[in-house]
Amino acid sequence: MPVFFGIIATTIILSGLGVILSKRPVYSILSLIICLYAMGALYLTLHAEFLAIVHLIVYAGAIMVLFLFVIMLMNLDRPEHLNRSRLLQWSALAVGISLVLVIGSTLYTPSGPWVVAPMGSVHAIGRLLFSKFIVPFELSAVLFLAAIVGVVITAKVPHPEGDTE
Amino acid sequence: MVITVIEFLPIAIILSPLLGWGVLTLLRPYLSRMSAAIIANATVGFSAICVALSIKTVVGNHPLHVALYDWISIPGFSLSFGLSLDRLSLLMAAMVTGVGFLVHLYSIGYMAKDPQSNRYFGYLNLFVFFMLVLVMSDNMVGTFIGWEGVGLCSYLLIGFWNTNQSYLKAATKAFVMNRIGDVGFVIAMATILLHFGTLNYHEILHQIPYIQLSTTTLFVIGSALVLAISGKSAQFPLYTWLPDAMAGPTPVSALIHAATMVTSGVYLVNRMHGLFDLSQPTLQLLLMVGILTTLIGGVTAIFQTDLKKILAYSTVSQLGFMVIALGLGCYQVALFHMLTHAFFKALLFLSAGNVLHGLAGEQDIRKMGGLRKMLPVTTVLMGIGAITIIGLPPLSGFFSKEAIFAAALNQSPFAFGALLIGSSLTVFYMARMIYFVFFGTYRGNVTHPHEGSLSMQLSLVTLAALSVMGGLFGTVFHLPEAPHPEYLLPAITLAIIAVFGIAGVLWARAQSLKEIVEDRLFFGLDALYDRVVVDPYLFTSRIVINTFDRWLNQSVMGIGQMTRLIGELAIRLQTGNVGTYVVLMLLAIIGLFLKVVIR
Amino acid sequence: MIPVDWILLLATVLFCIGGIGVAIRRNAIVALMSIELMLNAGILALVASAAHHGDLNGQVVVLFIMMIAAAEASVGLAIITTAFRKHSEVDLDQYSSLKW
Repeated sequence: MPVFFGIIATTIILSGLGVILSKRPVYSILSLIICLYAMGALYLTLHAEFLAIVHLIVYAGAIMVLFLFVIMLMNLDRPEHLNRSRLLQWSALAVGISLVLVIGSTLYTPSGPWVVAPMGSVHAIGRLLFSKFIVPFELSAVLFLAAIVGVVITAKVPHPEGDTE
Repeated sequence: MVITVIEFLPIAIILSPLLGWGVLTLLRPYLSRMSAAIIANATVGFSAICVALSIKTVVGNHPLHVALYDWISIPGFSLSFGLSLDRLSLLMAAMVTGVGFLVHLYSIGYMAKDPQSNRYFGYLNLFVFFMLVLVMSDNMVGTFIGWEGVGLCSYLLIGFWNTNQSYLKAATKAFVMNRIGDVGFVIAMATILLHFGTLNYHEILHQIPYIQLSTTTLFVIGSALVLAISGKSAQFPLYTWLPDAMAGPTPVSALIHAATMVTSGVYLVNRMHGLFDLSQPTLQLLLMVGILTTLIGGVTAIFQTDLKKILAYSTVSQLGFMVIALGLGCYQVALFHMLTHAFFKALLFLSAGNVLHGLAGEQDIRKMGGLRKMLPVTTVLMGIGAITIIGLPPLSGFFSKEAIFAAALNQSPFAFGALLIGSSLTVFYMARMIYFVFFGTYRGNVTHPHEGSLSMQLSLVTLAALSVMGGLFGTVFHLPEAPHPEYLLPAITLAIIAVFGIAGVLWARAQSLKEIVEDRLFFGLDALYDRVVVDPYLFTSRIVINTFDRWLNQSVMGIGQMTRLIGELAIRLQTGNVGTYVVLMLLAIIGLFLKVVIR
Repeated sequence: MIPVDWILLLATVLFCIGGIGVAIRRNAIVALMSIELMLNAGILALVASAAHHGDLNGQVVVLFIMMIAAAEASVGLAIITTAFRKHSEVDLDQYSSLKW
């Protein structure tokens, strides 16, 4: 088990670094997809089978394809120089590492044992989603509606004659 | 069903003038002058009709009471706001709406040429509303609101012609003097609340027998109320605002500064008479204040050369009569005199308004004279007013004054003497005024004096009729019995009238022939206030401006500059660069976790 | 079973990688992807905790986070598209018209 976790963790970290360090956006996306697959595998070991599947479908399937579409269709795949201000880069690195250290130190105290419970089935999640979380669930529908309207309004190409509304 | 309609009458009485004010204020630019006047008259007239409709129920010993809503509700104190219409309130409301309506009617003619007359009618309606709140509220706080409201309207109307600097000063003076009295009202309210736990009149009077109050407490409440009364009803230490208040339009002087607002003190004492009954020192104080006011007002009126100021000092003096009656514990007598005074003083003021109207605003009696030929109707009406105020039997003034005399004769010879002197002074200055204005030769510059319009004459004739017949209202009140030889008081009155009437005419005749130097007698009080209050105040303000205020100013400015400085520093945080924001966000997260770690 | 702390540490590292990515990259799309990384770090922590406590609520919340991530990605990409059309550039340093 620790070996499996080691492999997965290494994959996740390396592909995550790949996302932020690749020169071309398409490589970033491909790294991100690898990262997401690895995380899906990790979910399987954490009694979250349904989540793992949804994760792959929604993230790796839908969202990443959306990113790829945008990059491909708008021809954005050009290399970019990392020449932002040095100060910002180093301070970002320092702050990131210190955050890991700080949080790591809070995790130093050993945590309790795993509670073993049958969970993660579609049936159980669906039951919870439609009873306890029914209001947030319905509200997320509203959120999606708002997102759709927002996207359409934002991304619409203005009509040449100018009578857009 | 009939009962429910009657229950709504108090609300209708109050809301009608308020509605008129609202309409006149909101639609002021769109209303023609005539329609504004009609709206004002109609609303007040409607109020008067509602008052008349409720008379039968109220006099039949069924006080109307409408609880409007729970106004203040905090632990230890709750106040529900309601309107009550008992006999006292009904009398006041009848007087306010009745005289108010007549004055509105008169104003149609009087203000016909004033470009601002819509504003004027709006204020007048607002005044009637506040006055009705004052007399119909069932608790002291409501009365206080009305009390302040009529003060506000008085201020607005005294300064109605707001392009004249001295008028505005007079308005401010009236306002400030009234505020001094209001302090007394607030102190009285606070003390009553402290000891009774309520401000509702009914509950206060109900509790009086069960609560043991020390004489000191009673005197504190009483003297605070006396201060309030001396502010609003123009009594001795604070009366100086009333003569200056004549800067307003004459109908205003008639309604606010003679008939209604200045008599609210009489109403207040009547309303709270249970408290006054218990405190003999307070009654003595009232008596002294009343006597001083009567004498000062009467003497000063003799030396005035301004027609309206003569009437103003006469009002001060007559208010003194009422306060003397209050001080003698004869509250009903004061009410009676207040009622008749409302009629004849409104008549006098409005006829004086006729004179001013005819003479294009001339107020100096030295520039009048011989007007009986040019203004015959006014002469007759003002003559009726004058013989009423001097108490010629059997006009209304005689009955109310006789009642006061009788009360004084029974209780305090000292007060009786003062009343005799005051009455004589009344006869004297009235005779002088009438002679100056209507007899002798015309000394003015205006070529063709003219009578007022129909609406003015109509309301004057009504008031004259009320002045003559007003004595009949005496049966409503509880009056002291006449002293033993029944012809004693009429005889005394007639003697006074004969002697001082002739003296006044003779003096006026002598005076009108030569230049009169305006007498400064008893103007001293104003100068005294200037020295004692105004000058030290200005002095301290100057010190405060030069030291404290400058320092304060700089510190306030310093706060502003500091904010600006911080802002200029903070503005650098907004780089427009997402990277910086993320770094700052991560730092903040570190901060949050550090708290966990360190703990 | 591995200790849950290891997974949480992994999530922290992933979160920091995402944060550093937003800080150092100028390409708006890559910045958006870095934000996705940060979101995923949060999801990972939630899933691990849910499994650790045997509590299903955590997994449901993860579902909601995914919904929000989807909405956020679509709106973000729409904004980037519009901005690109306007500036023909996806460089975050060039977008500064809202700055004081």
